[in-house]
Amino acid sequence: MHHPLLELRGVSFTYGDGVVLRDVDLLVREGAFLGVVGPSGAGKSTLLRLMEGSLRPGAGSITRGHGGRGSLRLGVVPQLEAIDWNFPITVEEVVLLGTTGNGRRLPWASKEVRAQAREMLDKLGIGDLARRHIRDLSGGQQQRAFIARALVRRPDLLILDEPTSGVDVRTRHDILHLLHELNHEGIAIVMTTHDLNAVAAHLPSLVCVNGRVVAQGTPEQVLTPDVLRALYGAEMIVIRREGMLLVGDAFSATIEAHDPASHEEGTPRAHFGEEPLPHGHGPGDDHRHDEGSPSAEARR
Amino acid sequence: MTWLTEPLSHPFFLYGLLAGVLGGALCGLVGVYVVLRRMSYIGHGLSHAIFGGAAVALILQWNFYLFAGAWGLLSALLINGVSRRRKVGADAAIGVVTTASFAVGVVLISSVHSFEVNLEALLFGNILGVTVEQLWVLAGVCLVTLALILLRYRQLLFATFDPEAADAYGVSSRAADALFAVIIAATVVATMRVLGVTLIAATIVVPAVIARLVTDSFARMLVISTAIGAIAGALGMYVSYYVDTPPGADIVLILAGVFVIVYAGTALLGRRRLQMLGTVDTHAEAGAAIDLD
Repeated sequence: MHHPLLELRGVSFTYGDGVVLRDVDLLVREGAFLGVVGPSGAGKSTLLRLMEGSLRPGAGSITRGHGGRGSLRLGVVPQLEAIDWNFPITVEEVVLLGTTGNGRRLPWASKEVRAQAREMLDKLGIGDLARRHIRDLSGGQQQRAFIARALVRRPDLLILDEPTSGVDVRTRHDILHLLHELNHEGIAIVMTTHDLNAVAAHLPSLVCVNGRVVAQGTPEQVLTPDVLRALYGAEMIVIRREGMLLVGDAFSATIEAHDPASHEEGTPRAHFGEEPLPHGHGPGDDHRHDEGSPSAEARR
Repeated sequence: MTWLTEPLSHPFFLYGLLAGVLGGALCGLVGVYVVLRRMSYIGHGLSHAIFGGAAVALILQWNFYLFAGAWGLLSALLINGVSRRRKVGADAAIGVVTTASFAVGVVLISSVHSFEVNLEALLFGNILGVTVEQLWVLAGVCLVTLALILLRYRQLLFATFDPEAADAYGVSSRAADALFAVIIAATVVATMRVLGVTLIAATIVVPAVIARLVTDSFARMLVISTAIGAIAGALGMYVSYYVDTPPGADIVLILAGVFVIVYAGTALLGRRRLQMLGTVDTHAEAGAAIDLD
């Protein structure tokens, strides 16, 4: 039986006059792996901050359950965009911040705590970067440094805000793989994402948020045209191919369905998703289309 | 070495030197948090705000440190509170709170013409006229601030670096903000009569900015900034003694000079490193070409 770790009941939140979240009910159990999806400004980050306890709900209640070692321990990984990368701090110092609440009064960490931090960095494959400044790391390594900060306090629940935002495909894959591993080790995970195809569709469960909870369930249950229309206010197409879910917006699909022959002479081939032909081939060449354009001028 | 020891025979110089070193070190230490919180104008603004409180304390003949300190703390808490509102940034909050408070001081001074206050000393500092009582207050604030920063090192670092996540890790960002407000208010009140309202901002900000240029470690930045502040305080006193210029201004000019030198030096080093990297790349390419041949 998986015990509840965090329960939101009828939670609403407002910034000034604007209602960001209304009447949200959400239950996170031990071992859960939950993705929060929704359009920009839907209240996803606000929902995470309410879960973390850094914001208090205007209405409703948030109940924190008990983790494996008494009171619930949270590990929070912020959006990388929110970090001041010029702040004078090394990777090891970032990880040691995760041990701040351990009651130690002295400003420097004990040998044991330092060893724990090193162990965590080694586990995440960035042990050799401990003394580097955080700015000198790649996007994936920076994400790992902040995950290490969260893990060093042995959390019951890991909360991540857009952990795969702004990283390349390989790094995104690595981060998701790492999160699945941590989840298998027993850590519950809640994360937000904008990426429906590469991230959300591969998570065990999703909650769709747009000012309120629009739907909850497995990707198969919630990634449907009806739910996505309610979530994004636009027509979406969902394709199931070889066991995979693919979501696309109907507008792009319409554009791609154009017949190139119906376009005026001079339309660039890139418009149809085709590679441009070498210079001097055909009326639709990109270089011809570029003549006199601002970008062509800029290149000169 | 007599040029170093001769001025020490004058009590006014000795007291001034102690005030310069202690005040410079204190401002340098606190300045690290001020600069990293992107609140560089809080020193400037708070010293102006406390000017209002100082005017009230001196007119009503209340204890300067207690009243101006409470006024400064209230102003700093107000700035924190106002800047927490999403629509108002810290810079705007500093502008609103401190100018209003400064205006209170101006109104009071213009309406009461008969009090014996050396306004010039408040505005530009009077390090050569520092009293033993003022020195004790400065030393006390230095000790308490150092103790608070050491005991709350991680909490203050966390709340400065990542205030959004701090609460989730058991660090109250509000408590850290309040502690920071106490520290900055105490710093400004303790150094106000020494450095003056108009020069405090530079002694808070410049050492921290110089330290940031030379290190990527927070702990080292604290040490370097404190040391730069203390050394500039001492040097400023000696320059003032021999050149016969106002010591507060000398301290600030020395800091500004060090900043220019360090800024140019680090820029030059950075450029040289880039050039070396370019040379290495060129050699690597040449090597590859030879191997292929």
